[in-house]
Amino acid sequence: MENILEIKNLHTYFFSDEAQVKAVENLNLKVKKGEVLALVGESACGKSVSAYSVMGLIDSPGKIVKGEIIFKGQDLLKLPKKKMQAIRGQDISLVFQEPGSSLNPLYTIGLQIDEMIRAHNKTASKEDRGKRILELLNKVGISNPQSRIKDYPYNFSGGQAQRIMIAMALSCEPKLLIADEPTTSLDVTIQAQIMNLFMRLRQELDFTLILITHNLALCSEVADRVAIMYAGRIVEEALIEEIFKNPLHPYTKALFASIPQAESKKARLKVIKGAVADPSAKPSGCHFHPRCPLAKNRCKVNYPEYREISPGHSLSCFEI
Amino acid sequence: MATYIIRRLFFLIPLLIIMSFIGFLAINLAPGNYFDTLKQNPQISRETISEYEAKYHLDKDVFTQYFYWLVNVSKFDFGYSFAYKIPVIKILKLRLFNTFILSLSVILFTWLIAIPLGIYCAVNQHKFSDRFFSFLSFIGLSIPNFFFTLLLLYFASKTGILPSGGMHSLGYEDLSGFGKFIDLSKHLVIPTVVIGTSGIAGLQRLMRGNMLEVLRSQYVMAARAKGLSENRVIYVHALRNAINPMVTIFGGSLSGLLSGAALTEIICSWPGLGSLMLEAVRSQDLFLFAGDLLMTGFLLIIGYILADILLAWVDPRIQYQ
Repeated sequence: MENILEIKNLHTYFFSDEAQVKAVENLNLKVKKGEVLALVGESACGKSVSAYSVMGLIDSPGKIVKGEIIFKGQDLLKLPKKKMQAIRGQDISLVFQEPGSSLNPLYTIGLQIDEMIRAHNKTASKEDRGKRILELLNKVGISNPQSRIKDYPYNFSGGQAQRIMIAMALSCEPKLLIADEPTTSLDVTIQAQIMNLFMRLRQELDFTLILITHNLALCSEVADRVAIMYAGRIVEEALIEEIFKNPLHPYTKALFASIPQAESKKARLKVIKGAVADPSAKPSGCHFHPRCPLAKNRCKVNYPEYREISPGHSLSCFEI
Repeated sequence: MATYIIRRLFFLIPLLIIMSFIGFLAINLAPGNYFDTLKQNPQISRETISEYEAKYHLDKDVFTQYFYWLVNVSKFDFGYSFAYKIPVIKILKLRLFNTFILSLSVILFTWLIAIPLGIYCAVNQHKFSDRFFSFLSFIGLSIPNFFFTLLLLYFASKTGILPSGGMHSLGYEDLSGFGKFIDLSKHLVIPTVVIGTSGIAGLQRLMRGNMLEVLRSQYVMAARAKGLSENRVIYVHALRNAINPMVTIFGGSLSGLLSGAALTEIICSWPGLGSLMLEAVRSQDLFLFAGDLLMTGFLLIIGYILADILLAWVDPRIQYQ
């Protein structure tokens, strides 16, 4: 299957007077056309920064130090600003974590969808755009859209706002949609509704989805493939069935072990000992070694190479 | 909205009553009154003075005095100025107009410079131009107004380009309409620059801060992610949000001008409400003082009401019931 997006050797750092934060380090990722890829990791492991890097949204003090992001045969990092601006929203769209703060509070949602369509399709007439907005809002399940296009974001609940964000992200029919923890700030029933919406729209509109999440249960339901991130790097990558059946990297194992089990109510919730690596002072060698049960001396010195151990299943660990 | 404004205006009345009463009390606490100066004048007889005192109820206690004053004010009679020998209302009208002109000129000067400058600095954060204007702003903030005025007045008198103080030149009455305007504008330059400089500095910093905060917000990033042009992101999405808190400050600045301008008005001998207040207190011109206080307070509150209305107009989330 052809790759729609290929990230090679991506390094995104943030600079301050005191420290250099290596948010994303040597990230390699291939996204196949039409698949749902879940990018999983703890908070602050560089998931969102990876997404922003793809979108070209890294702003000072952040900088993409090196790497390539190949989309439709061209390196996005080498594109002039204007070209990248045309790709954002048109070919690649992003849905943010908190819908409430992603909409500008001072403009009606109609205007905010309209300006996006207008930015990418200068020839569409006002009536066409209006029709398209209604169609989109209908599609994402906003009831009575005609009366709601003149409403402001504060008139909508979190779940409704996320539906609007999704409608907006899909307004120009992008080939690739990146959803950055789209359900984290919503309650559980709404989470399920929003995920169902994503899956339904994916069948209708046929786009590739990168789902950024820290929720493994969610992945098992929707993803085709999973990439596990730790401290700015991908540590393991496999098909969804494979990773649930046969997790190999110690971090992945630990993640699965920490999923609460309904049967073992009395047992204490398993946690991964230690704290997430501080991105401004990552441990030497393999960043996971201070928390790893298998760590040997060599893990403290060198970073293990990322290798494929069986078709479609890659990881970086010396001990497996 | 209309009922809200009416209610706010209604609440204005008790506020003004309390304020003017405290003013009355304060000036009565000061030893003596205007007539003590007259008493030392041998040409004025005791009887005349007592007659005056009785006429204006000054022989009574402060509560009675205040009561009579309040009754008169409710009939738009602000009393009589002892020092000017004319009704207070006539002086206030003139002075209010003068202060209004100065305030308008200062507001235009400060806001038209500070807001664009703040935006410019925020968009070019940490670049040389941002640092340069920040440096200038700190100078503007730290230079004392009276010192700056004296500096400019010295410059004016040495070069003769600008008039040094006052509001009109000597032959003002003979000038044509346009000539009058030019003459007034020239006189406005120094007080406007002096009062405006510290205002620009502060506002510029505020606007820059607001803008920086908004530029970092998620909806601005979301606007970029939509593929909008950078101009649209900054001037449509960020600016509108950054300008909102400034609206509240705008109302406050109206009142700040009235009190903050007093010192500059005095040094530049600009005949406004601020310098009038000082004259009235010095000569213990009771009714002039009370009238001036009432007027200043009124303008202050109106300023805030105006700001609230403006805010509701620019921010759809604010609705007054």
